[in-house]
Amino acid sequence: MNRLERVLTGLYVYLLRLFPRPFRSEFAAEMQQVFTQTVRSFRTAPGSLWKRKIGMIHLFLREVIDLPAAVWNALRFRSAQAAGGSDLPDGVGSAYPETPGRQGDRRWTGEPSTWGEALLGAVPFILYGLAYFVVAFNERPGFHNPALEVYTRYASQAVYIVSVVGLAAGCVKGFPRWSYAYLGMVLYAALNIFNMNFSVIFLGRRVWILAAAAVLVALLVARSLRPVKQLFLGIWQDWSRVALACYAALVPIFTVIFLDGNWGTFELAGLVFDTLLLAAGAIVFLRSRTLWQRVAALQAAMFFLACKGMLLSSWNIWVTLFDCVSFWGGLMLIPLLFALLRRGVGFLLSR
Amino acid sequence: MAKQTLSITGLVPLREPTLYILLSLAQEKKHGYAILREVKALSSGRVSLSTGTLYGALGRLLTQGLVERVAEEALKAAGEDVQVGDGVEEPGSSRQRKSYQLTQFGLRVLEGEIARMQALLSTARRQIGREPL
Repeated sequence: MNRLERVLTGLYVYLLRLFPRPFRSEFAAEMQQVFTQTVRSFRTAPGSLWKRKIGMIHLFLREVIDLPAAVWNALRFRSAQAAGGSDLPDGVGSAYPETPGRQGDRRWTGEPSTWGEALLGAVPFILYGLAYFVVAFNERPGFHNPALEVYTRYASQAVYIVSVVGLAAGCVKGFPRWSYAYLGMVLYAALNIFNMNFSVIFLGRRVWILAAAAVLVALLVARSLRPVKQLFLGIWQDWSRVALACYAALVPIFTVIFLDGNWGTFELAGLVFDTLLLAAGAIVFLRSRTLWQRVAALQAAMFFLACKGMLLSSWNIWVTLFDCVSFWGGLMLIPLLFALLRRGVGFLLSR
Repeated sequence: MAKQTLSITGLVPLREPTLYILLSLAQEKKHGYAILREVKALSSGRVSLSTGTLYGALGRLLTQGLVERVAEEALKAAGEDVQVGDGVEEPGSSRQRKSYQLTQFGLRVLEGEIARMQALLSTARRQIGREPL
């Protein structure tokens, strides 16, 4: 009997892992305790040993059968809370401290993304690096192969399409923090910065239409304008999200500037380094807890990118480099100023 | 007293498991296992909640402010009596156990639901030609 109890309790612990993390951290210990207690209550139940064992297994199977609905409810209710808790009466807070109840703003901004979300946020940078690697490989001095041009076009288009899909998925999910990387990458293409992006070879200046259509479809799937509200609410609660969007929209251009007309032995290796550095900056940003850590993560990535550029570039590009670092670095600090302003106003109002 | 201004609109009608959970907490605070047993007893064995359903409902009720959580340790320190089920428990586990109790707002919602059901029942009885009990 004890062995069956142990097996069922062990399996139940695995089932609990299917619940969303905030729910789990709030209730998993209690749920396990209650399940264990219910299983043990069969020790003193009337009937034969086999009947009690079957009762235990029946109890476990009922948990399994109820699991999809229970997980779905936990996810759905968490989403409703993340949307601003508009279903809740005024003055009612959140049961899950990690989610943005009306009194939980600080915890919301302080909660780091999961590893999965952080890797998801790094995907556009890695894809961008891969696509540009394909382009750079075919543009090497003395190598250019016209037959490979089609692949370079496909690679750039793939990055843009993945970014648009990521943006749409982020829209459906209520614009979580990772989705701002996709937003930035889409802006990078749509704004046609320095004429150095995908729009040159894909839809021209109308490249933004695809992104707008994807967001429209996402809103139709969500059957609500709530994601738009969540986009602005997310920025208001956590201004560093804008910094991540700026980082995705502006910083990848560094890789282009350093490569353009500046070929040498280590350019392709340098491009891999840039890609990994950009992705690492995004991951550290998403895994960081405080506003300062997040801004520092992006600034550090840009700083190391600039250092690598100085090492591999000739001195005459250093002026351009300095301009870029000071301008874009300063631009990414603007959200920090807004965040500080918001905190200052909040502090004064609370006195 | 912000909670006095809360409206029960949108919270009723309650689903059957939610109604039973609130009813089980109407008289005294209980922990999860005791709620499970009480719900089963109140419904004469018809409603048997899984832990996932129970804690999903409790999470929602906590957020809506209908119930509140009280650490059992704090209750013991205050000398209050807490139902602990059939007494089969892991040694030392009571330290982590938490109990739930109905809030004033939860009581109002429960009373609102009962009044709604009573009105429904009266209408139904009138329609089928029987006097209300």
